[in-house]
Amino acid sequence: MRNGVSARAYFIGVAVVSALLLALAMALRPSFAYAVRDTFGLVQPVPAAPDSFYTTRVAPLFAEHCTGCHGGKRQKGDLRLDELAAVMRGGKHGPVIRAGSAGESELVARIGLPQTDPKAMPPQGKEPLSGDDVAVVRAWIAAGASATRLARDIAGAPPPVRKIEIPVLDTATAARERAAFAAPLADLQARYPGAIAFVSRSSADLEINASRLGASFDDGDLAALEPLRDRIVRLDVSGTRVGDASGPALAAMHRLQVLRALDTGMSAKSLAPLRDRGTKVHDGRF
Amino acid sequence: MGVSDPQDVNAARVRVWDAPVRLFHWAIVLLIVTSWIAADQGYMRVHLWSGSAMLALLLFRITWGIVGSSTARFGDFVRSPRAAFRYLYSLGRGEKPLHAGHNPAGGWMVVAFLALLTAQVTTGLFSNDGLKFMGPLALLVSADTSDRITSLHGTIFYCLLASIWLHLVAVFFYLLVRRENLVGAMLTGSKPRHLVPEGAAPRFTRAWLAWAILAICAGIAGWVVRSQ
Repeated sequence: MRNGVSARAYFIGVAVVSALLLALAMALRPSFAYAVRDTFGLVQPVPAAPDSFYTTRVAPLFAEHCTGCHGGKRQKGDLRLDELAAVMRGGKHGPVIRAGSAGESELVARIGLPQTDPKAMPPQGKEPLSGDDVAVVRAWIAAGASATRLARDIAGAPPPVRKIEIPVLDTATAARERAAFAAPLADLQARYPGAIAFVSRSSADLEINASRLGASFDDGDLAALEPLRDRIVRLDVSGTRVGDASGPALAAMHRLQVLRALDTGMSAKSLAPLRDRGTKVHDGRF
Repeated sequence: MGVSDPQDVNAARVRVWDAPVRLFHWAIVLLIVTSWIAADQGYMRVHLWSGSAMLALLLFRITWGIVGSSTARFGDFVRSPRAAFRYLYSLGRGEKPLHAGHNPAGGWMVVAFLALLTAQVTTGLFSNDGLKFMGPLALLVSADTSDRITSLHGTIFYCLLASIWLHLVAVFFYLLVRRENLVGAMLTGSKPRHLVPEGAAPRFTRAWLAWAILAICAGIAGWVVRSQ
């Protein structure tokens, strides 16, 4: 009988073939390559800037519609969309995003398919992305799928939709909330007759119209509203003597949604922080 | 020169594996490949039926390991871990210890395969693909548990792949280094006389018993798969 190869030569051959097979698997399956590199701590994280378009607009869409199946818990198709490095890596068939070319990105193609298409994502039965959502993803990829670019740098993205939650009519809760500040409210209503009212019968939020008090209402009066600051959602100080000194008091009204401040001593600079946080300010300036 | 009774010292080859063991081996190979491709390509119905067939075969093989032919029995090939290491050590020293059936190290490989396959098939019953497919018993556990089991199903598969690679390395070691064709033996059921210990005489259980056991196991597997 012929002698076989030596055990030493055989195991060297096994090592070579194993390495070749591993390399082949890593070349054919990017997700496998990622898992191997991750195991040995060789993955370079791709940190997304907290104020980037990706973090503020794209990642929330992935979280809402995709990461249930393509996240930490489950990785269908070896694809993860819960972390930017994994998004860019792609799934078992390779990258799903081609930065700068939304039209050539598998991810855009899939989320744009009609729900009846078996390749549509999310699949039939799950809530699909809206047309605006798809446009957001498309715009992000078209602009280079950046981890740092801000919303103003992304052309063609629809404006964000502000979600407004309408509370259920609950007079009992409103009455309980009103009771918490009933005493200071009564004092202030007596001091400023007809200027302070609830926005509705089922709400404990307040609307204050100081404009009817005219020049008799000044910074000191605005400061006197401090006990109600958490409840004031609308405020009109037009025609009063309120000035920049009231800036901190207004800033403390963190739930203030609308401020009318026509013909007052307030400068645009002192009103800017309110505008930045989303309060609608009407001061006659544009 | 043909295969003959092991007692026939003039025969060139000695029968060591019965047909049920060989059919089980090659059917499992086929089913693992089928299950892998089916899951990878999203043909989950095929994956289900392939897994169900594997369940039936595993039940059969475990039973056959108790009542089957001598080389198929766990009592014949499951030795102590010390015996397995001693066997590997002797291989390393260039010795050529002979065994009619599984050698002590190969016996542990069989146990590992059966354990992994059983774990794989069992976890598959409770898994889901997050889309339109759920394992036959997935509704018996919570969605979170099913998700965790699904993740485990994927992990066990990689362990199975690693075991298959180890098995192939061993098979080719025998073929290329020791000049012993284990694949041929698993295909034909026989080994050359000089590779079987002198005096070894495997005993074979009748084939009808294997078919009867397989039918019962197939029935049990079918009942499990269709029970939900």
